Amino acid sequence: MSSLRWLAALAVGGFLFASPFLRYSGAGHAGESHMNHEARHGGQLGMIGDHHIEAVLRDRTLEAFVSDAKRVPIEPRSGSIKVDGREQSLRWVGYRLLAHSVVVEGDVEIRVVLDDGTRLATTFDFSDGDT
Amino acid sequence: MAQSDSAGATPGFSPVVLIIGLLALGNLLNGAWMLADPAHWYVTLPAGIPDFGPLNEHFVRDLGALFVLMGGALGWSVFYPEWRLAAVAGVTGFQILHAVVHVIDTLRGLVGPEHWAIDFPAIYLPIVLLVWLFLKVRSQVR
Repeated sequence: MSSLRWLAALAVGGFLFASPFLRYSGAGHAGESHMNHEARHGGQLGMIGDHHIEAVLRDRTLEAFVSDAKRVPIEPRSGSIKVDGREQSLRWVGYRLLAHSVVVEGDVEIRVVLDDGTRLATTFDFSDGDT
Repeated sequence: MAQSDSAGATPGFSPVVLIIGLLALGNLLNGAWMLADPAHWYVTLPAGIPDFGPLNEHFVRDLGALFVLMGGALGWSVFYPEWRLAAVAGVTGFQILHAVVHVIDTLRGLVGPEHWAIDFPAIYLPIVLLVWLFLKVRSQVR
């Protein structure tokens, strides 16, 4: 009886310890693929195949948030932007790709290379200004 | 004052103390992760945090400080049983309010209905166990 109580305590304590960190196979991160097409960072959302890129332009800083079909964030291998024929590298900072001193009065093409070599490219229209 | 049963608020190792110790460890790890690398925590934690909105590193660190405090209080109460009821009550109270926020945000559509399933094992089910733990510890100090 006593050992049963210890086992039960270990199970309860182990569950309380681990519950925030476990990945639950039965629960999708954001439901089915492509159910959610809202811009989460106040920018513009583009869809390229099974992937998404959200572009945010504020104060000449461009942020690109890359995510998969279920909007799970992805860290790409590399990224760049093309503005008026000029290409500028994006660098990964924390949780998104970033470029400073971006001057845009029209279209910006964002190009991303994922870890598996997949190349994503889409164009955003910033002719109305920031974001 | 404390009763002689070793399960709750008296010195010595017991099944309840084991639960509190593991709970303390989980809170400390989660809090330390938030404080050390908020962006990694935001992207990696399986609970679908980005569904709730953009990352604010400062607020994640604020939350990390709270989790470290809760873990520390629970850990402290493992060795100082007179603090056990207060520590468990505080953590249980926080988790109940936290769950209410999740219910409201899911009901109002901030996140999709899939979050009922995502949040059940990580947010809602632990409430049942924490309330049981609180009642168990309280019964030991009466």
